[in-house]
Order: sequence, then C-alpha cells, then structure tokens
Amino acid sequence: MAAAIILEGLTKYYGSTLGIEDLDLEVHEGEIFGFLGPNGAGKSTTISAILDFIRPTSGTATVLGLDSRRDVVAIHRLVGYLPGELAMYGRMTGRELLGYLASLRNVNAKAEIASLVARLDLDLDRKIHTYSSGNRQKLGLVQAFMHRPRLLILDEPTGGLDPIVQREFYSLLDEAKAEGRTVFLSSHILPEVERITDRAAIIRKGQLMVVAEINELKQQAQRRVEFTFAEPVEPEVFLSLSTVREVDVVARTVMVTFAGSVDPVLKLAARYEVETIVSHDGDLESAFLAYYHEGDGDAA
Amino acid sequence: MLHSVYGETIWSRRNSLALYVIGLGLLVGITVGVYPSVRQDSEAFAQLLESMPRGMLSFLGASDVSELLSPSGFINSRVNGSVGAVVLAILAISMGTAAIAGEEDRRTMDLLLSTPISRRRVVLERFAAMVTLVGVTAAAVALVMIVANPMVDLELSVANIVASNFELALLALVFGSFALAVGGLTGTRGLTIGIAAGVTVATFFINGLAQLVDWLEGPQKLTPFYWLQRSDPLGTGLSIEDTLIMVVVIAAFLAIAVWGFERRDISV
Repeated sequence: MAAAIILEGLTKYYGSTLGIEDLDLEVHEGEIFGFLGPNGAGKSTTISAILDFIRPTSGTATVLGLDSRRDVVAIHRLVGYLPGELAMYGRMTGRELLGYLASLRNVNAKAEIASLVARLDLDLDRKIHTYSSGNRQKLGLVQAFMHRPRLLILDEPTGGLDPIVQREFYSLLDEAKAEGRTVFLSSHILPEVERITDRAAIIRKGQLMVVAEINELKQQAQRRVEFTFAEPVEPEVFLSLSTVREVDVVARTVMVTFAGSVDPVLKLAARYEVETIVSHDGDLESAFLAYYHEGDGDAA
Repeated sequence: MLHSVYGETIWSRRNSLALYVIGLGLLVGITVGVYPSVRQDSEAFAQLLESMPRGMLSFLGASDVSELLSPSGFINSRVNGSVGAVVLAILAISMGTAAIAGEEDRRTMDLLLSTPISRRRVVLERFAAMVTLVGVTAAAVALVMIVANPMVDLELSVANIVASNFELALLALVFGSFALAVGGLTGTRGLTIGIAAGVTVATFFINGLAQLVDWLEGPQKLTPFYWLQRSDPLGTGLSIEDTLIMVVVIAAFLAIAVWGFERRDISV
C-alpha cells in the first residue's frame, strides 16, 4: 500500500519550547488514521508542519509522494483541511465562503456542496458571524470535503457537532474510505477514535508514544468502571483477575481499573448485588496512563 | 467578485472604498470651492499668513506665502500635500496591514493557505488590490479637480492634475507597501499598524519641522512627503525622478513582504 503521509524525524521547536520531537510516522493510503493526544500535545503543530503553515526545525514530511516544503501548492490541491481552531470570514455568507474557496481551488463543487449541505443540515444563506459553533464546524467540514480530496486532514473534526450530525460525519468518513481516500484526523476523545479509525497514534508532550491497530490499542487501554454494591465487596475479589490493575474501595463503591475487555469484570461483579454502574471511558489521560508512564514517568 | 484573493480583497473593502472616495471628493470640492474667495481677498490672506510661523507654512506643504496662494499651492496645502495624502496613506496602510497580518490576526490564514494558492500569490494579489483601490481613489480626486478646474478658473493643466494625483497615489503606496512588508515579516496586526502609522506620522512631521529645525534637513530628504513637495507636480508636472524613487521603494517593500512571509511560520 502506498503512503499518504510519511513523517521522518519531524521536529519543531518554538524558540526553546518543544512543539514536537522526532516524529516518525507512516499513514497508508485508504485508511482512516487517528492522531490521538490530550490538548497541547502537538497534534495541531504536526498538522501545521505537514501542510507547510509552519516550518519544521528538522525532519521531513512527505504527502502523497510530494515534499511538504517544495510541493506545497500541489499538496494543497489534493488535500481537504479542517482547521482545529476554526475561524472564518464572518462577513461572508456560508455560500459565499464555499464559492470563494472553490474558486481558489479552481473546482466546480456545486453538486457536492448541495449534497453535503443537505446531509449536514446547514443554512448557507446567513452571514457566518451569525452561525453557532456547530454550524461553523459543519461549514468547515463542507469546505474540507467539497472537492473530494484524496487526503482529508481533519483537526478535531467533531467538536461542537450534535450526535445526529456526528453520525452523518462518520458515514462521510466511511464513504471516503470506501472510495480509497485517506483520512487523517486528530482527536482527544478516545471512544471517538476507537469507533471510526483503523489505526491510531498517540502523542503526548510532542512525542509519539505508540502507533498501533485500533483493536490492539483497545486491548491495552485502561478503563475504569465504578460499581456501587448493596453490600461492601472486598477489593481482592477483583484483583484476582489478571486484567485488573487497580481497585479502590470507598464504602460500598468499588472503582476497578482494568485493561482490555470489560466482560470478565462485569461477570465477576454480577455475582454480587449491583446498584449502579458508571463507566469512565472517555478520559484519554487515564486510558493511556501506561504509555505515559513509559514515556517519562510523569503522568501529568 | 469572490473568485480570487484579489477579488475578495476588493469585495471586503467595497463599503469603505465608497467612504474614502466621497470623503476625499468632498475635501477637494470644498477646497476648490473656497479658492475664488481666497483669490479675491489674497492680500488679507497673505497678511494673515505672513503673521504665522514659517513652520506652519511648511506643514501646509508650501515654502512661502505667494506659493500658498497660487491655485496649485492652495490645493497642495489642503489636499495633495497634507490631509489628502495622509487620508490616502491611511487607506493604503490599512490594506497593507490587513493583507497578511490582518488575515493572521483573524486566524483565517491557514484556511486560505490550505487552498492551492502560494504565499507569494497571496501577497501579490493583495498588493494588486491595494494598488487598484488607492488608484481608484486618487483617480476620483483627480476627476473632481479636472471638473472643477474650469468652473473656478484654476488654470491648472489637466496633465499636471493627473501627474499630481498619480504621485499622490504612489506616496500612499509607499506607506501601504511598507505596512505590507512589516506584516510579511511579523504577522502581527497591532505591531504592523503601530509601526506603519508611526513611521507615516514621523515622516510627515520631520518634513514639516525641517524648515524650523536645521538638523532635520538631512532626514527630511528621506521622507516621501518631501519628495512630493519639492517637485510640486500640480504646478510643474510629473517628476520622473521622484516617480522612479517611489516605484523602486514600493517594489523593494513588496519584495521584502514576499520574502518575509515565505520564510516564516504563520499564526494558526
């Protein structure tokens, strides 16, 4: 399989402040790749370097076989980009902005725009400064998809989208993949990346912690489930399971931290009378505590 | 209009352009309109002006009273050598600032540059839009002068009116391209406006004060306002030398803007 993005030793310092350090990464053509990390980890810095908005201190980025510095215009023709901090031309209407960007791309995207706008349910005839953040995000998605790019680079794409629109967005990603196009998306939300990507990388403090198949990551990710039992339960009950890493007991509430499938934990808990269950899935920091510890022994 | 960076730049200025044209048109119209009464009472005006400090004359773009009371001198004092030049420079500076630093300040530069438009092209199209709007505004000023000229017997030659406003546009573009260069180098809107406006005001005052303060005579020669004042294109026609100087300076600032913008990180 050809490579959509190759990063080799990509490093960016802002003065003496580290942005990203020595990133090596290969994204295959035709896959949906998740770039996962907490806020401030260097996700947007990496994307900015790939698209030549900022210049790496050292290292290279190759996009669809083209050099990110030398062939920047050719790369931008093939890429659809959704900025993370989406700012827009507020005095234009949505339609005017899409027409403007389509002109700059020298493409006729009218039919594609109409279809995307209908699917995402967006009103294009209002000034952008009157849009809600959700609508601005939809507009950002439309402009990223409208020219059917070979590579989609989406920085935190689902922020501000309601669940129904999110589902529509996921199906857009599936269609892009079915057509052999590549999606590179960043996120700080683990379940989202688990749900929609094939492979993912985890970045923290500018350094790549791991690159793996999403199923593999799911196996290793730590989750937490909180049970409240009718009667107090001894922590040793759960510690007998090999996947369980930690058990905290406060009165009748037991917090179980484990890796891999929730199934054995649940079956064990079911032997007792369970009053409530709360799942703490979404917290990336705790989910990848193991990786973070490996990194520098500091679990921020 | 929203088919290119050039078109978008003009589109975004469509309302303010009308204000600039109307404002400067009124300034010229009123200036020319009151000139007949100045001419009629020229002795009284001359006495009044003689009693003023010499430095004031210089700020009005003239070196002596008789020059100030001639048609070209009077119009220079009100428009091309003073207020008009500053207003047109403000238009150019505001466009030069918005071109790069303003776009970055608004955080839309990454969206714009994610299209297949090179940084160089963004700068060049924005510069072309600035030339267009400054040119249109200066042409409107020239048109008002040409129409009013026979109505109040100014006896200015049409060629000189055109030459004067052509040089006026170049003067504004010197400051506008300076702002473009600072924006290209820094990408910071506040800094760009501050430096460009500061330099414009400083050069305006250096030129004005040089008549009073000997040691400013050297620096004065570096101010664009001086270039326009010494050749008096409205009275004597186009100065090839000053035109060339301004064109070269504008081209140099444009080159710096492209170089500065191409080499650095943008704010995203």
